[in-house]
Amino acid sequence: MLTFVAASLLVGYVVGGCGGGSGTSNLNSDNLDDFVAEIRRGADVDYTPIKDAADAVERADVIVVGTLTNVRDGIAIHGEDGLWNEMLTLEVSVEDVVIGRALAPTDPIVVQVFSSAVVDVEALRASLPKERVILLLDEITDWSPFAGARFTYPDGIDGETRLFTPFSDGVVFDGTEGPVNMLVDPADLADGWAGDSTFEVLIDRLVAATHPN
Amino acid sequence: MKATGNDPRAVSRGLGRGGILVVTAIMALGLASPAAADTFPGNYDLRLADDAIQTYCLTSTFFLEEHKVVPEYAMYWLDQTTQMSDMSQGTCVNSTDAKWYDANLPAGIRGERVCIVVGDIPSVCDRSNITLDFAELDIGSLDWEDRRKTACHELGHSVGLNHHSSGAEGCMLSGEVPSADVQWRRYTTHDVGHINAAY
Repeated sequence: MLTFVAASLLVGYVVGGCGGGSGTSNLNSDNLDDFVAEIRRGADVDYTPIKDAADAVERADVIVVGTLTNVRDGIAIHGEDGLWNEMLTLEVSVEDVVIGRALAPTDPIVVQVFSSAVVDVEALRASLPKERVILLLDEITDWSPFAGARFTYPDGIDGETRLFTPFSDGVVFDGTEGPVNMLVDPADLADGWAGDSTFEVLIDRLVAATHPN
Repeated sequence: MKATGNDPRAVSRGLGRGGILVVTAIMALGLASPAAADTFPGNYDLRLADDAIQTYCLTSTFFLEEHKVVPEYAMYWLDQTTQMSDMSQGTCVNSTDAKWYDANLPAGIRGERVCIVVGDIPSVCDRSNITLDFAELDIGSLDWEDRRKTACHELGHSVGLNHHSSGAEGCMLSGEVPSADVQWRRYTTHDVGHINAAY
């Protein structure tokens, strides 16, 4: 099927609090590698890279830390010229909210991510990683890519659902050997962002950036 | 203006679909082309376009003339600097290889290429949707160059290129162009070698 990967963070909200480590062990990286390889297939973007944590906080509407709990079909968008993109839905249990607390804990967070006809949703589901993940999100509730775009929603999502999409270099897993970006290679990350730190340090930097001196 | 890459007039045109299948089969066996110090196709779906002739159209999302010329620029220079050919179809049809969109992309995305149709051949993407976000591209300076760099970039993905596939300069760089130099709006010689070996 076509996928214009969407991540739907149907929030199983746990706790507020910023930046604390959970003690989660860094296992299951085989799953993480498989998941990352599959979810990238067929969608390539050129994006304005995040420079550093301060830039991330400046640009993102919401930054959360959590874990993926499910992946399924998402939103499809058509125009006059046919299918433009489809999405996947990722369900995420949110552990911390770094910014964006205006989102009530019970609010579902639905995130759209680009993907393609090549992605196998069943393969993604089979390799759903258990590692914690940081997501930098842009709210797209009222977004439309072009005039006349028509949205088709999957079960559990409708026109009233609050929608988000991650920044291309803003989905970072707590990998065994360091942070793993879901959508882009390490070589494509800006020097000041996500490439030279541990997962916990990255969270700390984001938290610190929300309280600049 | 000097184009990067091989002289398109000095080499024969593409192999056609059968040729692609042979090349793809060779690559699948790990017998890389001489140009292949890295993986090709290196885009995330690891798929080539269906043949050396890239048919394309501009969808009804394009209204402004100054936007319409940008995909045309990328298609022209793909044709001029590689063994691939561009062929405008005017109106988009189901068989169009590259459908260009002018759209508002979220979260700092400047351009996007999605493999939207796959056929029976596992190593081939039959059709790509290529989207440009001009508002995002026009942030900062060098807008004219940025627009054309990203058009070149996304078209490059549709024919198999990855980011930084050569480790050198060229339009497969992510983000804004570092300068107005033409190299940022062209494929590197290395990338052209990959394309010409495959098509």
